[in-house]
Amino acid sequence: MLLTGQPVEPQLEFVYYPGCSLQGVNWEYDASFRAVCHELGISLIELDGWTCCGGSSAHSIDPVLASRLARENLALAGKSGKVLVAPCPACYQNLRRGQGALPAANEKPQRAKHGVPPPRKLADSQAGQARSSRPGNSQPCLAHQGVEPTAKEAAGVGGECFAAPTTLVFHVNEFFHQPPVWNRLRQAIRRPLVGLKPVAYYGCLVSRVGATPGSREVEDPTHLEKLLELAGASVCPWAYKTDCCGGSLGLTRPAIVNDLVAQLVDEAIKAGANCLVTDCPLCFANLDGRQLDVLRKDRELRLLPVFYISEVLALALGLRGVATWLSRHCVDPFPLLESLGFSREDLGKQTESWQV
Amino acid sequence: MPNPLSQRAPGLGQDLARCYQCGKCTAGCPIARGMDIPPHQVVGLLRLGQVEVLSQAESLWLCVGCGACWVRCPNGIHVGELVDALRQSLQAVSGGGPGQDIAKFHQLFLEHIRRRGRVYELGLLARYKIVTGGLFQDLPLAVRLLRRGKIPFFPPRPPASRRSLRVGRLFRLFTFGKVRRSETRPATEV
Repeated sequence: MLLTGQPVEPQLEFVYYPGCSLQGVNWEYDASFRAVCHELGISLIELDGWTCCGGSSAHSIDPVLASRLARENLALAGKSGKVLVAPCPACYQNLRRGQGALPAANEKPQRAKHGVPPPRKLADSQAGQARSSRPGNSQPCLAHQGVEPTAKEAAGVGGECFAAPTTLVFHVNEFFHQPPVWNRLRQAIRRPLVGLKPVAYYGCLVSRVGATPGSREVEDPTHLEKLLELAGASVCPWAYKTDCCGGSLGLTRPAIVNDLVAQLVDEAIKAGANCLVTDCPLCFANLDGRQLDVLRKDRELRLLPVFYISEVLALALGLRGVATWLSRHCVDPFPLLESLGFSREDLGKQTESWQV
Repeated sequence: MPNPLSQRAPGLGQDLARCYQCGKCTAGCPIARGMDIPPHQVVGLLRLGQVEVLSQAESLWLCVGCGACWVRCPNGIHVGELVDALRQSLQAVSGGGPGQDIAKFHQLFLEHIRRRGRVYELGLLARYKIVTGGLFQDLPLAVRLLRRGKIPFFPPRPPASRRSLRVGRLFRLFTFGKVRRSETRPATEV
């Protein structure tokens, strides 16, 4: 008999695919996501030996190579039998694309007339595992023609096509919306973010991966808004939530991206927001890093702090050490947070306020 | 009606006869403002077999693959995938058209994966800027990121040799801008 009377919670374990950008420029996303999961008692096991998903370059030059890179990682994850979490939408897109067979030519997609396709659930992973373990056929798929299998793969570890293409892959939004995770999150909110008025910015990829064109979820996803409302913020509606930030063109055509960033920030301010919240590292890099460049040309623009969804959740959970992440942002978020009543002690801020 | 190009890339297998040039793809495209040939005209030109015009278009490299064209097309045509396939089929990587700096970036990115298994951003960016001669183009941003400690100055982990070997194997038969030998192609292959 349990003395506390609390039900024993199931242990939650996920395989974690951080991706290259979360280990480099966007390490705050990685650190804050890990911290939030740690606080909620969810263990993230980093996928051992993961490799780059190919970013936007692999599918730009060679769709078959992109599929190979994705399946290599799916094969690694498939061995564990757990659900894979990929916070970066580009990784998520590539992994999900690698799961499907290469799309059949001349196949007209079904358009959703009514309602939304059912969300994918944790329970699906068991079904997926069962499917992936069926005896394979000897013909390699298109993505693996010309690639010799390793000894283990040849021995059948990893499923019919070296990979276990049915490994369930979650993005951060889907991950937090799984009922066991959601319930823990709801109970753990200690510091509702009253006064935070964000716009939710999904970027272009998340809502379109595996989407049914014409369904409401494609043009008007609401995952982030629900998470932000759970954190106590009052979300501002806007029409630019799935617009593109320019992605990797930030490096090759900065002028186009600066233009898009200026438009997004402008529209967010018109919507009455005091910050932008995103779940995409590339959107963050463009929005946060380039606002100052835009400002240099366009003096009218007001700076708007940008947060990762995991940072907002960490603030709402009352985690300490948030400042170590926030002080890396190019647009200073501290004045906004201080106006919401966060003291320096709350945030664990050590350094003095800095100037651009 | 099958389009004039080969069927080996999925994007090229789409039935472009469905396109009635409504322009919804162009209206939704975030990059169309900077494109020389907007998305609906890419589809139109391909239907007319104007392959040479397309191979010299900068749009071919400007597309970021966001998929807005696809989710809004009333006929389910994915211009992004079409463009992905065109890049390879037209061998635009080795061609001399505009947008070669973007092609170079993708090449360097993939070379980086082939060698290291993962991408180390600062190394990749520096290499890209040196190769294209625009080292000072984004200097304020780079300085800002380095000063914040956002970009680690050294690679986060030493590249594991076993990992890169495993990845290298995936690149076999892959050559930039050339036709992959293993693929089943019609006998007309050069």
